Amino acid sequence: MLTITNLSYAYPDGTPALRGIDLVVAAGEKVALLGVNGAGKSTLLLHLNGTLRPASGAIVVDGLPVTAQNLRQIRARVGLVFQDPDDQLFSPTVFDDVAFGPLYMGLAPAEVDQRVQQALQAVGMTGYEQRPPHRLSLGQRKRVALATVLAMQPSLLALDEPSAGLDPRARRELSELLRTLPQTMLVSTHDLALVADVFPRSIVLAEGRVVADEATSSLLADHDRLWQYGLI
Amino acid sequence: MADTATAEPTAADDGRVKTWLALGFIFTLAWLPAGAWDALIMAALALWFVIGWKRIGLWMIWRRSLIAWPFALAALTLAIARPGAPVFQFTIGGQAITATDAGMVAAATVMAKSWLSVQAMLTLIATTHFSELLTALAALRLPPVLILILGMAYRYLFILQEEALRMLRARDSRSASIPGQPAGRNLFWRATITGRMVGTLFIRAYERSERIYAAMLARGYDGRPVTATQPPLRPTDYFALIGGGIVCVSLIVIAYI
Repeated sequence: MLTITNLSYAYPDGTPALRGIDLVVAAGEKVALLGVNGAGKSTLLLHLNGTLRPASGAIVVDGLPVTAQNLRQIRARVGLVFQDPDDQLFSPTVFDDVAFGPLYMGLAPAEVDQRVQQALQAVGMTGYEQRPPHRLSLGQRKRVALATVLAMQPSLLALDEPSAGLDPRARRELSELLRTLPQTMLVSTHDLALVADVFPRSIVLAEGRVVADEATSSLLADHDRLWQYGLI
Repeated sequence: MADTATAEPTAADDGRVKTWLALGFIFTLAWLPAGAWDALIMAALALWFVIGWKRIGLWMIWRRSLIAWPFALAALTLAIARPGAPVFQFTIGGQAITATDAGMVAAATVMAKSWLSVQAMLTLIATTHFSELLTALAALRLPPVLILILGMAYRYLFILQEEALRMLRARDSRSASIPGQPAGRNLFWRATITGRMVGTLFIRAYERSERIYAAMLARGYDGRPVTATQPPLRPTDYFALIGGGIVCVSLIVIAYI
């Protein structure tokens, strides 16, 4: 489903952000991406749909390489949800925002309506179609942000710290939602409870490198390494 | 505008002095009569000397000054509007238009003055932090509320710009296509989306301003702008002002004798 080969990237000022990332995620896998702030998690996610272009290396999603020529098709396959829902939501109403992707893809209005309803139902936000996103709570905006990509029916979900700032109930609901979604997932998070709940596999990044890639259960059981990686 | 400055301001340069000198230079240029080429050439040489002395980069200043050319070109209409001896004639839509000698001199003078004025402002901006400019404007008795507005606009312009860029990134991330289906609908739809994004950005900016205002109130703001006490000018500042003043007066004298 997702193959990353020797991916490297440096910020415009020359600071290395990713250094030789190699990664394979199988279809249907749910993988947590862990690491301290600045480890390169968000930068890696931004590469998956071509928002950032690698200095070297390659990314292939569903057999399609992420290149300038394939960007539109890649973005139909990779649903990227930013950490701050205000970065994701740019329309005056929830409906407009969730409908944007399907409309852009040229789908018929009836199918767009159907996808919007399905996506809002999946995230438990049915009935909020005409609400302005900026009037919703953070948890609600996060759900709508997720719905905006679910409506595009991507095969890979790339979520950047989806539980950041959520209260315990919203976090619990998010955890249940992520467990039920069928898509392949690569999710950046600091939330070890969420990781334990949802993701059987965890990858740890440190200074732009993969320093651990293993079963979540074994990683979470190793207190010393969690401490060493700055995860606790 | 420290972000774009290419020459680091030094402790010897007082922002007020630099602002007053730049404004004095521009007012002097405005005062020069049409066709005062000697004075204009000397003004240019003086300005370029300062640019070289401060190691700003003349080429960079010239490149940036191109932004003023569309406005300066408006001065070309003077060439055909001012009475004088005809120099050449051309026809537009069956209408004969004559450029005069006096008109061409006036147009060239305005363009030269505009170009030099823009270079003077670019030099000021390249060597002065924005906060220093605000201090200088306060020293020039600009109403404090205007200085507060300028300061906040500068501070939050970058935040708004980043917000707009994040919204564009989100839009691009969902601008997808599927095989066999034309993507992007039509120009009108895309323009509508862009218009809504601008509206959303406006609402966010408005709400952010409300939050900022609440934070200002929480820290004691009562409607009166707070300005820092300005340190007294040093002897070197007075020397710079006197030197700049002599140059400006000399230019005017050269132009009128």
